[in-house]
Amino acid sequence: MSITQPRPVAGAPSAQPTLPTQRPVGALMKIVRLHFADPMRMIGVPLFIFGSIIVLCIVVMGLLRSFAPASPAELTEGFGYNQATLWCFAGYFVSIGVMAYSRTMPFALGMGSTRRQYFVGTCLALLLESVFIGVTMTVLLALEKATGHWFNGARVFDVVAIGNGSYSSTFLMGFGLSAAMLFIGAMFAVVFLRWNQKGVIAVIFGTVAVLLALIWLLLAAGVNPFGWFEGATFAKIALIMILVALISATGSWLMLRRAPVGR
Amino acid sequence: MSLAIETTDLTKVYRHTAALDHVSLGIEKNTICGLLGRNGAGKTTLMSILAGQELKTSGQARVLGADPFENAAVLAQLSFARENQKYPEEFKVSHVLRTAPWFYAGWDAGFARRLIGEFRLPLKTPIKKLSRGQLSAVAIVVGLASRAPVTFFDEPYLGLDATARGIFYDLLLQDYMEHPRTILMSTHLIDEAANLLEHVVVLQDGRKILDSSVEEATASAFTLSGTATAVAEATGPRKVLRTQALGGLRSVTIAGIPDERLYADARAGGLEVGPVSLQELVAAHGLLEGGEPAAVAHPAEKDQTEAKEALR
Amino acid sequence: MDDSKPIFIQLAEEIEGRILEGTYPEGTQVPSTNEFAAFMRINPATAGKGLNRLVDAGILHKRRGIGMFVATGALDRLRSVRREAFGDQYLSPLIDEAARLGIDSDELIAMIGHRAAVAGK
Repeated sequence: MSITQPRPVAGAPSAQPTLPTQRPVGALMKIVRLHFADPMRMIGVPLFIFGSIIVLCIVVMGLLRSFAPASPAELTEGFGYNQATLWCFAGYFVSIGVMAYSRTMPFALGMGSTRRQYFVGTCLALLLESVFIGVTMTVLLALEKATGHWFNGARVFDVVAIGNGSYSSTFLMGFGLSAAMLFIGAMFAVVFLRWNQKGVIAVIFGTVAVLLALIWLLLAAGVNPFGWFEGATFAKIALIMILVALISATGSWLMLRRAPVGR
Repeated sequence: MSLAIETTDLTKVYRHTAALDHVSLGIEKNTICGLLGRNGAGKTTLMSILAGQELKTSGQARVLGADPFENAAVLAQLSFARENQKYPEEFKVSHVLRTAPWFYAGWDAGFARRLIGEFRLPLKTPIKKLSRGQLSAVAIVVGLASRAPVTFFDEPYLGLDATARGIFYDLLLQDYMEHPRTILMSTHLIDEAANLLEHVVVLQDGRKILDSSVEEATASAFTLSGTATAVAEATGPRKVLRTQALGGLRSVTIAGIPDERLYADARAGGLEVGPVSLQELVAAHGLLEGGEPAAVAHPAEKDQTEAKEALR
Repeated sequence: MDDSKPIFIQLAEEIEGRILEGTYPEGTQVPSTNEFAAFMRINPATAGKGLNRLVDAGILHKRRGIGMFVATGALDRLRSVRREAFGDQYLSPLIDEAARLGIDSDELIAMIGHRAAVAGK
């Protein structure tokens, strides 16, 4: 081989003008932004889910009005017990929480984030997401009321289960529910990182056992734990949800500190 | 020169097995270091601990002078893409390009675009739909364009064909010369990568069996070949690391430096004295330490590993 | 390339060869360490070692901040070193092989003369 001339190294020098260097992003903000880097996951899909439920409820209402032997007023009244919104995003949000630690965390740590930075940034992102869901549900409630329940009496957000038509209650329920689901999902992902499948099963059984024991103790002591919920019910439910989120987050951090990541 | 990476008695125990067993080593700043050893030798575990992703059981690990675990100042200087690196769900290559600059002060977006072009990476395909080779290319793009002062490559060539590997080696060298930094690369393809390396660490069953400059390593042994009887005579009581025989011919790898006496014996016996390649040396150490040859010594076994990797 | 020698010696010998055949005349600049490293796909420290070997032997000289140049007298020095090594490196193996093939020294000398005539040297 000849070494008279240095061989050109693969590829020509970049012909593009050098891109402007980006401002360094704060350690926490970059994690928050990382979670929203793919807007479909955090914004697009939830909106799509809400949209689908609205359409579905309108169609069901249309069918009922054509075929059911009840007056439109009775049907609208009955739709007030619609729980679609309550359950629709629970599963999806648990999965977002899980992926935050099972997939996004190894990526962030590989790029030099610390666990602490990642954890705090992720908590911020999940809280932001919960606010977004609360606000979206409140706005959709206003829209529902303004359109006479989507023009045909289908009630989706103006329902008993998530606030009985009150804006503040609906916001609190949306925020609390999503926060609880997101942080529970996150916690189970961290349990998995630390102790694999066995840990997840143990935590599920442990939680159920503790809850049952608590209720049994209260009942045995002659206290009806469900009585506490009478009056300001939604605020109290939301409070419980927020507590659940808080406990999950605390647990996540305690376990995360010594969990292997990326394996 | 100061050390970029230093470990003292670093040990990692999983349940019953020691993934790392009192490993002490030092890698100088701004060198390209090869991390060699069979699958399961502890290469990825070592890199994970150095990157603060796994916890050590005992001993010390220092990167840029400090314990890397939860050390924001150290980790900000570090880039580590695992061989099985996970990416956020639904991420595309374009997402990686958009988010990576947030993490690295030295990220070179123009260089990243050029690398994407060199490896013909599709920007809009979800990462989970990429082939094994394309996944490796994504890790290479991040590792090189990040210009992180300490960069780990974990078997970065998996699924890449010879041409693409050549492109990687060329770009790695070129960029390393323009932007000197500490690069630690685990590899099975010793012959291919040997010339790129300045330093080499060999692990086996969690123990360090070699940690030296490539030059010292290859000078620590030599080969002697010729007729079996003449080789045996010239070898004498010297420490033989490895013996290969073909009919009446024999080639031995001998520890140490050939002396005048050996050259004289070799001339008399019509023997050839040659330097040992890094690949031969690692294979020889494999025999010495574990009683069985290192993976690299057996083409058939190497093919199997590659086939397994291709299937993944 | 000859794989039986360390890579930095291969590089040094390659450059020596280029100097002997006139590709790099005395006084001209040779490619940089990094250029040799990129070209041969070797670590720059290894390439540097090969070049330094030639600097130590007085074949190349460094000009700080500019690069490496072929020293004056490098050609003569290389020729004398290579002449000394010629017997061991080329003649001994030639004679050994000739003996194995049953070529006696007269025949060998005749063969060399014939070859040289054909090559026009």
